[in-house]
Amino acid sequence: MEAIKLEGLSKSYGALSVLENISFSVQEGERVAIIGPNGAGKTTLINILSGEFPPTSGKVYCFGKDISKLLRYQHVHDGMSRSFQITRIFDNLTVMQNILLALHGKRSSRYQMLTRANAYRNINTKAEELLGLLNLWAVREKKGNSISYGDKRKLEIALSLASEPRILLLDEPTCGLDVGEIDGFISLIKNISKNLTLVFAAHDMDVVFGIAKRVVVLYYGSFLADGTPDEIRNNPKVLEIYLGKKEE
Amino acid sequence: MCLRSLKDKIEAKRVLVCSTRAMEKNIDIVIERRFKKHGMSWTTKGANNLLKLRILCYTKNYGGILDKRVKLWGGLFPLGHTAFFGIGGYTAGLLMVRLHITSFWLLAPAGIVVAGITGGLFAIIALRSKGLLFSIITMAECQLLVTAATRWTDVTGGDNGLIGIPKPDLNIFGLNNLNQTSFYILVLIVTLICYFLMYRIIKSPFGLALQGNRDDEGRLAHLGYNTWLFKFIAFIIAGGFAGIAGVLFASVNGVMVPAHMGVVTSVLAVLMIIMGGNRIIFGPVLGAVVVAGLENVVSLYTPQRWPLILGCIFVVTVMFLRGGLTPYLIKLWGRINLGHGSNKA
Repeated sequence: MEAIKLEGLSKSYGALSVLENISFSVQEGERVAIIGPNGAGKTTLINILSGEFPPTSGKVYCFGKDISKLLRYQHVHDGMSRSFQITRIFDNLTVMQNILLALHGKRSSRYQMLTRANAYRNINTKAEELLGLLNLWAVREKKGNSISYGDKRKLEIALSLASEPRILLLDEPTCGLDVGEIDGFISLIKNISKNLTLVFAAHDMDVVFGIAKRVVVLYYGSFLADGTPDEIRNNPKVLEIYLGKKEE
Repeated sequence: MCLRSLKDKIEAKRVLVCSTRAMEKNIDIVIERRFKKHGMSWTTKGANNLLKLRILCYTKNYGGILDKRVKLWGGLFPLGHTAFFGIGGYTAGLLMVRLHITSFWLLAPAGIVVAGITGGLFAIIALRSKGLLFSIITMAECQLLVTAATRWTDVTGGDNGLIGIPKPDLNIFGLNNLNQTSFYILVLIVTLICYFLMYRIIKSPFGLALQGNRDDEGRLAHLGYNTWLFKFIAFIIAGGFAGIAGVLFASVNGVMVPAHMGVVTSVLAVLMIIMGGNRIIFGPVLGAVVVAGLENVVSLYTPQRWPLILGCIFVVTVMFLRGGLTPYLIKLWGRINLGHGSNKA
């Protein structure tokens, strides 16, 4: 089944067109990387998919449902979840509270006013699992603004995983991580359940070729190439434009 | 020539002012292409400076002092909160004076409900804006009510105020015609109940969402929270709490005048919050004690100068007391305890 389907998607800011007539679809369980030089429209594409702003024209379908006009929180309830390139966690809440907040987000318990946020057994178990999965257990009582950058990136990913998405959108997930942490991230993503559809934008080719089964190349708002990592690696256009011309 | 250069200056300013993200991206692209073309790269110094700027931007350190220090639990900073306080007070006062309903068990719910509904109506208008504009709109809404109370003399008594508000009857344990002491105990009990309820709300998933909203509203929306609805509900709850405060105040004071829900009272409430510290729920209580105490003491000596002194305290608090008094008191308490510990050891 098609998890995401884009039809003639365009986005422009006034005269500047950032995305032009993009159409493609992602099957359920597929792992797609979006690559392209700076300003190619990767983040804009992810922003539109996650409902940060609506497209100028065109439609976005999520599991057959038109979501192009829906609001941000409605996208989450339709099974989408995203992370940000610039870490956006809740600075004045502890790591544990950050995760609890994310876990309550999709449940009706988020409107509950008189029970404690940490009094739900199933949510606590989930939170502990997530903390263990991302190696954040040791810092769970620290505030968001007092943990290291690597931990903040992990927390960012934990927040997006917490709402149990069917489609996970990651915007430059490894931006600013060191080599060891990147390896850890790749193995983490590989271990996440097979049904999860993953769309991520990345610059790091190790991450792209390590995780993705399919690579989409954007170049200044338009589609350049689409194929398996090997096809992309050998595509002369991509080599010329994205990786630079080969020196004779 | 002179005119021309001035025009250029204005043009340059205009371009600078209306820089948008898309334009920045465009500039990035141009710079990148030029770099590639000429085989250039950043110098270490230039790159460091750029990095510093970026970090400043991302951590939002360049924002104003107020922006950082004055944020309430939900990340909203209303200046017109006394509108609900006044609505509660007037509701109770009118019910008692005009309709002769004196049962506390009717007055309190009436005050809460009317103030809550007003809160909801005001929220619909005010929540369309953010930040400073939000504060100003709430203030305007509050002024609207003040004007209504001043002009509608038949009902509210206008500037002369609603006079002769009695103390409510409890109708249990024969507690009617409360005297000053027993009414004080009633106020204390109601305060404790409100305090307990607020504490529970802040620790609940709902309260956690409000705190998240304070830190980063956009992120919260991407976790599945309808942030507008949450702020709306928070407004209604806050209105309800202010309503019950108004009901009690009307009886304590015996008179309700429009000034009681004016901007000065609002600012006083905000000062109490800043003074005590807004991150700890006990903070505003302490702030209220300090400000009310100071008001009593200062009024003994120079009643006319009280607003001036109040303003000075406000400025000093905002400038020098990060997070209000409570964090300092907690630190002091810790130090005293540590001192005791080391003495014993």
